[in-house]
Amino acid sequence: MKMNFIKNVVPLLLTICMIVVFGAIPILIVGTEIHVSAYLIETKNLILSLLHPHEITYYITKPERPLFPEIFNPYLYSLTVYFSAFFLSILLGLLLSFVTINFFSKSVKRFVSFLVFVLESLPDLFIVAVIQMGIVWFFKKSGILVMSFTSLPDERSYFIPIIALSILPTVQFFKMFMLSLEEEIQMDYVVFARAKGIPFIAILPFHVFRNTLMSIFYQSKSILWMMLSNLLVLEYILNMNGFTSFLFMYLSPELFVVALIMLLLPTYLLLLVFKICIKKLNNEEVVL
Amino acid sequence: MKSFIVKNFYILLGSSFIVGILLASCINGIFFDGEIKQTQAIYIDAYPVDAAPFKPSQSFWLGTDTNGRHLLHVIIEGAKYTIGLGLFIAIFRMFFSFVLGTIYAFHLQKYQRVLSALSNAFQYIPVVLLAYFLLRPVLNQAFEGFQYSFAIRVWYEIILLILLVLPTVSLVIGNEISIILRKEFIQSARTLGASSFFILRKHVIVHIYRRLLIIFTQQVIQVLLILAHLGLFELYLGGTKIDYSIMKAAPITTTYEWSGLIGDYFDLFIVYPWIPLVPIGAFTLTILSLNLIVKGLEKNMNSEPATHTKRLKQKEIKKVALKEFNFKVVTRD
Repeated sequence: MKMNFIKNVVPLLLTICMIVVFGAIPILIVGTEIHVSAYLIETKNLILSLLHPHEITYYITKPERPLFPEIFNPYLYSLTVYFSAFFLSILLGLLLSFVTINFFSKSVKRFVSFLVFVLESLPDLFIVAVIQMGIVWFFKKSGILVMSFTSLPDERSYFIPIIALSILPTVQFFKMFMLSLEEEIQMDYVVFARAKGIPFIAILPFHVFRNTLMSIFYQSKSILWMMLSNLLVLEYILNMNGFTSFLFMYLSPELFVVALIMLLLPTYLLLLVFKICIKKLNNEEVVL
Repeated sequence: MKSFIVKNFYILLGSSFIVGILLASCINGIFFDGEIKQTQAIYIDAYPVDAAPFKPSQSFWLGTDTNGRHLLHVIIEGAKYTIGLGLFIAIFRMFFSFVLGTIYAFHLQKYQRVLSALSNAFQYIPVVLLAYFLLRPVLNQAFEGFQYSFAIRVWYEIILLILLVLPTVSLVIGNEISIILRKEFIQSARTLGASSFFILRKHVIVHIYRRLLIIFTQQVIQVLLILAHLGLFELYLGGTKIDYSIMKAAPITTTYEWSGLIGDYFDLFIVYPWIPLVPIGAFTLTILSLNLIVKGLEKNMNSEPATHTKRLKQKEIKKVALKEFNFKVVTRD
């Protein structure tokens, strides 16, 4: 039990250490000079302020304002968009791959895989820009504004950001599901179940899905971090007053460290829950 | 035979786009001094009838920006800087990661758990955010002007973009190498007296160079993506000039480098959507063709077994054989 706990917490602590080490680097390297003593002092200050988070302030010009109750508003907004997009993309990926495997013929599948290839190589910047253009075009044609571009704290838009953020992960999940499902379908137990007369649609969710959990975990690890940087771009382009816009506006070493840790914690927690689920369901160990 | 054409078709298509645009860019730079065609207004009988920006049309293929510069021309002129920078950074990333990965695979296997834990910790930090945080104090122009010279700014950015991914990529390459080092033929080579360097040169590289090529192409894509993002956040290669006067002019790039163009043009997005979409589209096409190359390389890798260590030529074999059998027959009485 104790061993397990250490295994789960050590990577988290390591990452936090790393973030703190990076936090003061702008002080360490100034042009071509290197100031080690100033760096050490700054690092000490960073650690001290992490221990007393209520004293952290943010400012562009004075007066300084306390960071902590203030930051939760944009933070919760961004997290909502982030996690809903993540779960939406898992659901959509699953749904689409089930549909493709069950109902589509071979030539359609080939076309789908081509489409996946193209979509996968599009940069997030392009996708978000095109979506925004689409909204403007739609507004010009029909007069219906799907999403307002000036988001105020009270009226925040969720629909379009979540959709825009979930496109790339959906494509990646879809691709991964297709690969592991096609591999899994040829296994003996699937053939056996089909021979017993269990319909294919019933086998898929209950048997095959469970066995692909491992690969979902590893994939979602990298997808979650990819989505974080997509979130930055999204908030910038769609003018959402989210967490990362806040971070960009008031960027300082303290804020950077705190913000990265705040982004790290929920994501890490989610992966941990995933890990425990896989352990309970399949009795398989995965590395965080 | 058909599959041979298909698998090379991907690589051909992808690389021809990149080579083509690089060539065009260099030709424009060398023979036309990097000049950009500019049409600020259209005159009919000496009366101006229309002024820039123009929409994409037959006479302006991708339209023009607000100063009347032809965007197709701008993109071609900027290609050599952006793609060149991507290739440059990726080459150095690969070089250093290969060196580090080799050291890791040959000598540091004892510390595998510690090292992979460290590099794992590293991958949880979004690279774009980190790059932005570390680059902003150096690249942005302060109120009193730039703190550092142009060369320092450029090299700082390049070195930073190289260093940021070294832990992850070296570990990937190191793991690839160590998988090969565990194979049986390496054991027999060692028994025959091969040195580590010989094994690296004759056995390891032969097996992983395809994999290295794929990683290299993916690295180019990654660098381009980071550049595009940094450009969007108005951190340009070599520094952002910020106009602190009252008439706030937009930050300017001087080289028509793509990431800078994205930042420059992005404010025009709502009014003239095609203008920022052109550099973004250029990035997209480049990344798409790089991905085509990756796909071609992957197909190539799966379909053909890795070429084995170069066979000795027939003559050399004879020589070796002669040496070995050239012993005296000792007869015993």
